[in-house]
Amino acid sequence: MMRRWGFIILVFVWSNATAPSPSQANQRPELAAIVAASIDQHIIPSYKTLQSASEKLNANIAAWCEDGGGGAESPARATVEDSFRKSVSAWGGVAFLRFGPARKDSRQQHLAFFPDPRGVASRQLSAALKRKDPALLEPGALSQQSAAIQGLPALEVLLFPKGPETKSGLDDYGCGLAMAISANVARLSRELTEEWTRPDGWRTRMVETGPDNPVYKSDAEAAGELVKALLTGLQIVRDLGFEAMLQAEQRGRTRAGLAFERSGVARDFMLASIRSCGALAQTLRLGDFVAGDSKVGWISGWIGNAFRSLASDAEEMPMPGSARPTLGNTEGLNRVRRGKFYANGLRQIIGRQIAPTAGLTLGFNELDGD
Amino acid sequence: MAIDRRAFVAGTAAMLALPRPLHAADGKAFHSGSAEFISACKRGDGHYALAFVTADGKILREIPLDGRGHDVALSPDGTRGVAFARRPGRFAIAFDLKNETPPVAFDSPEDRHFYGHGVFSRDGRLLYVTENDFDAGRGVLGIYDVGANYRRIGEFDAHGVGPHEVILLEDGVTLAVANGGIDTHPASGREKLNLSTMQPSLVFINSRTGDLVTRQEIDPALHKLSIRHICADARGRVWFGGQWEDAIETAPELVGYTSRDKPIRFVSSAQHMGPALKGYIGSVSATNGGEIVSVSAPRAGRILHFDANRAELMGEVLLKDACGIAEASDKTVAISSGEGILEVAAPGKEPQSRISFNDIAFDNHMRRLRV
Repeated sequence: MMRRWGFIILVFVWSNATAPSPSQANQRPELAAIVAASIDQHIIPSYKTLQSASEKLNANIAAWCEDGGGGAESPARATVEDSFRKSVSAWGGVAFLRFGPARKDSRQQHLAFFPDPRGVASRQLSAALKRKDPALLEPGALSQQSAAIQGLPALEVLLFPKGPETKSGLDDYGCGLAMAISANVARLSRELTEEWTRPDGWRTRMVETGPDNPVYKSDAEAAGELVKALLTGLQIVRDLGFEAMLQAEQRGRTRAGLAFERSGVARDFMLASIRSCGALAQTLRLGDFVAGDSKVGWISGWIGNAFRSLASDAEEMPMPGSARPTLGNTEGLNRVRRGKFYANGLRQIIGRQIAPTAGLTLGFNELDGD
Repeated sequence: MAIDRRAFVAGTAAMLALPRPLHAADGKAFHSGSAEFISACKRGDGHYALAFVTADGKILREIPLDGRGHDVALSPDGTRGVAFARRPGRFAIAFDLKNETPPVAFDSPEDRHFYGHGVFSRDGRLLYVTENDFDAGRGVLGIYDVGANYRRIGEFDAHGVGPHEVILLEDGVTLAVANGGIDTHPASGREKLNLSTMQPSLVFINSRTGDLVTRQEIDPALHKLSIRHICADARGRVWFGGQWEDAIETAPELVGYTSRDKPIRFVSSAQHMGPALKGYIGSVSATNGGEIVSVSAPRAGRILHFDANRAELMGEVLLKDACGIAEASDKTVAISSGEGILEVAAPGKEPQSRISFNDIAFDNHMRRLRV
């Protein structure tokens, strides 16, 4: 049934992918305005949230280690876990913004080396813990190392070596490493905020477009970048979230390989990603581009509903646990299937219907190069 | 009785591969040419296919694909072709260009996936395909026996990670392979796993033994320039186009050339072009008998033509989402776009024809079948 809906929507969308009606053209939002609003109301605040959360995480790890770095019995560890969860959520809010400052110097990968299908982070951390090289703990040393041991997933391996239930303490070297990693995450987050907000930073670059701008020659290019980021976010939610769950179910696996599944905060990450995508869709005023069109005006309201449905399913679906089955029952399976359907539907409608209507450049060959 | 998926795909392909009524495309051909081209594409209803089209706007034939395709390898005698799935797909479909025998569908092994490119041996008996041994994170060239319904008979090490385009050089023995350097794993979709440590290279491999002849690497400071698409010019030099995996404004020059015995050199221009090309070259093709090398930058909507002998930019074409390039005649080049445009022009000149196909988004690569 779900597949048939998908087909119907896609055919409908394609068959209606025509020029906007005159009444619709009058209502189109100004591209420069929606770019500025998206940056000021959503993107920069999200980066500031990440910076604040990661700095707090770094401070809480320092306090925990000063307190002895104890296991489940340590109240300071509970504080660390809480701030780790908040940092993961904050990361989920910006992880799909893979352009500009995040793309520079592989910051995105350094902050979160994921996906990691071969377990590189775990392997390299084990080796580092075994070697106990003091040089690795020197300020700034970690940033020269493999991306796999620099960011939040590496910290997750340290804090939850065998899953969410294992709350073992850390020895002095482990504590040193946890502090070094969290300091690195805080540094990267700070750099991201700074590069977005400084006078000649990425905000200025996206808002002041023109022939002399080395990256964005027009407002359409800047707006197109944001829409591409949104489509990337939806693809991540679909492929590395809902689809990963379905694959795990089909193959009878206990683990689905979701981001931050090891620490039990995969749902927080997914929800933050979905909500951030929804907020970006709102600041981009995507629905307004088609609201006045009698044929496709329904899309305007549908976008908000689809994001709400996505969030609801991500909030309620059973998550991978220590025992099979991952999805548990028919309702759980339906939620995951529906989540995938809406993530895909949003991508198709935004990419194929709204972007062309808004005059944005999202070519078939340019979206995801090969 | 269960239906074998490959048999089903091949059967459907055979049925739909029959010549269809000719479609007239929108637009006007200024000059009615008869060049025929083949390209993977996406149709208006969302399905993927191989489209056989003419420069004057006819769709001669269509073969459905299991998913998004990428490039097509043509046999040296011009009798058959093979289309490959785009990364991380596993399907390929071989077809008779005369349409006298049914298509043959085949897959990569379960622990390999295709990268979208392949090339026939000089005698047409073998097919070399770039593949990912994804559990080991190692690039390989799968070797398929054409005469045995494309049975996979072995593989060579690609001597690098993420092999993308492979071509056979003029000597008929040496394969040039663009090792993009980017590690991926199908469990992670199309996510790139090693951007901070990637090491692209352009390697020359003996197609008979699999031995590495030479490996050419770029300056380590530019290690994030994924070498992906290649072609050989009339002098036997191998030209490449890259994909920059860092901030666009720091993108270096993206186009260069090398050979077995000469290190990589970049084509420099008065105006640094990496950022202007949006850090991405989507295809590279030798035209005019290898005297001209044309490259496409679909994100920037630009096609650049280089004089291969002088390694100098000689002209460019602006066309939104243009990517596929193929020689149309001795003097002209055909360009296809994701918006269904097929344009033929002499490099640097006004188009001789410009056709818009309804409901077709042409994919990255286009090959000429005949004039």
